[in-house]
Amino acid sequence: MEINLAQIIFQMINFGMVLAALTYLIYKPVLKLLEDRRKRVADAAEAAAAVMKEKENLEKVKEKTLSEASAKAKKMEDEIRKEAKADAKLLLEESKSEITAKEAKFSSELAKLKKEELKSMESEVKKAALTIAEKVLGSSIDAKKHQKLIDDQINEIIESL
Amino acid sequence: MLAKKYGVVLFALYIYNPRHMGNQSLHVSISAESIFNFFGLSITNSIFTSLIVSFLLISFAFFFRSKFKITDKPSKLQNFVEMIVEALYNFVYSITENTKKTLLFFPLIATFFLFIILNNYVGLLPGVGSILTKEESIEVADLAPQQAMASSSPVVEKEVVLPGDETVTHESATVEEVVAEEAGAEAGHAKFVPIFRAATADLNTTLALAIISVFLTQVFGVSHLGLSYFKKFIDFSNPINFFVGMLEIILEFAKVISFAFRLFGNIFAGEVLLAVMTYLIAIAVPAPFYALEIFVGFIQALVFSMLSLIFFNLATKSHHEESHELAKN
Repeated sequence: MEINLAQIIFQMINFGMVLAALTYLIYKPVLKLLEDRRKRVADAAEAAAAVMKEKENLEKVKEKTLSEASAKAKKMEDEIRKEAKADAKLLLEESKSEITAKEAKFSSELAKLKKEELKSMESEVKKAALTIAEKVLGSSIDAKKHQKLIDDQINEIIESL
Repeated sequence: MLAKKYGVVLFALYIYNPRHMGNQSLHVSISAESIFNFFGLSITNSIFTSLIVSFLLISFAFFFRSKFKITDKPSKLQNFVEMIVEALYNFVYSITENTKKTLLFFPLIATFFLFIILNNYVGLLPGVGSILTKEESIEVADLAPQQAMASSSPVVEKEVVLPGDETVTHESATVEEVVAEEAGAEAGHAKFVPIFRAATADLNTTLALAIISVFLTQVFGVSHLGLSYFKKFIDFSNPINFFVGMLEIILEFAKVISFAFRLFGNIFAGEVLLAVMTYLIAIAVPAPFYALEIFVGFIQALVFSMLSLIFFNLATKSHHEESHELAKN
C-alpha cells in the first residue's frame, strides 16, 4: 500500500472537475428551478390563504346578514301576528256586536211580526168563532156575548201556545 | 431423487469454481496497480476507473443540461434528477438549518455523495477486477540503485511458487539473484493486473477526498469566523485550553486518516469478501454479499458526506453559537 502524492493531487483535480461540472450543469439550474417552484407554490399558498380569509369574512358577513334578516323577519312576523291578532279581535268584536245588533233587530222584528200575526189571527178567529157560534146557536149573537166568546177562545189559544 | 438433484447442483458448483477451471490464483492487491504511464504519471487501474466514472458523470451533466427545461411538467429524467437534488438539498438543510450555508455546502456534499457512491458501485460491476491487462513494466534503469544496494548482502530467503501447487517454499539465494529475478519478472515477463478497480478501494483516492474535506473545513471556518477560527487551535488563555487546542490540531489530522481509512477499508474489504466468496463458490453464494456491498456502498457514501457536512457546519459556528445551541437543546 503506497501513498503517491501525484495520484492524490490527480484525484483532487479529478474531483474538482466533477464538482465544477455538476455545480454549473446540474445543481445551479435545478436549484434555481426548485426555488422558483417553491416561491410559486408559496405565492399560490399565500393567495389561497388570502382567498380563504376572504371567504371566511364573506361567510361571517353572510351569517351576520342572515341573522339580521332572520331577526328582522321574526320581528316583522311578530308584529304582523300581533296586528293580525288585534284585527281578528276587532273583527270578532265587530262581528259579535253586529250579531248582537242583528239579533236584537231580528227579535224586535219577530216580536212585531208575532204581534201582527196574533192580531190578524185574533180577528180571523173572531170571525170564525162568530160564524161557528151563529151556526151552532142558529141565531145571531149580540155583540156582548160575541166579545166574551172571542176572548175565551183567544185565551185558550194563547194558553195552548 | 433429491440426492441426485443435490448432486447435480454440487457438481455444477464444483465445475464453476474457478480453482477447478484452471484459474489457480485469487488476485487480491491492497494497492492499485499501474496500467499505463501518462506524461510520467503512473495511471493506476483505480485512477483509470475513477476517470471513467468522472467522464460518465460529466457527460451525464452535459446531457442533462441540454435536455433541461424550466417547466412544471418535467421529463422522467429531469424529474429523477430533481428528486435526487432536492433530497440531497433537504439533507444538507436538515443539518445546517440555514439557507445561505446550505447553498454553500450543498454542491460539495452532493458531489462527495455521488462521486463516492458511483465509484463504490462501479466496483460491483462484472468485469471490474476480472478483466486483466498487462501491468506497466518497470524500467530496468530504475532497478540499478536496488542492484547497487544488493551487492552488500549476499544471501536472503527467496519465495518460490511452484506451478500447479499453492505451497510456498523458501530457498537461499543471493540478493543479486533475487533482484535480477524480480527485474526479469517485472521488466521481461508480463504480469497481468485488473484493468478496472473501484477508485474508493484505493487509499490515494480516499486520501484525496479526505484532504479536500478537511481542507475545506478550515476554509469555511476562516471565511465565516475570520482569524478567530484559529483560536480553537491556539489558545494561551489557560493551560487547559492550550492543551485542548493541541488536541484540536491532532484531531484535524486524525479526521483525514479516519475519513480515508474508513472509506478505503470498507470498500476494499467488500471487494476482497466478494472475490473470496466468488473464488470459493461462484454460483448463488456471492449474491447476498453483493446485496450487502450495495448497502455498504450507499452507507459509506452517506457517512463520508454527512461527516464532512457536520465538520463544515461546526467550523462555521463560533464557540458562543455552539454553547447557545447546546443550552437550547
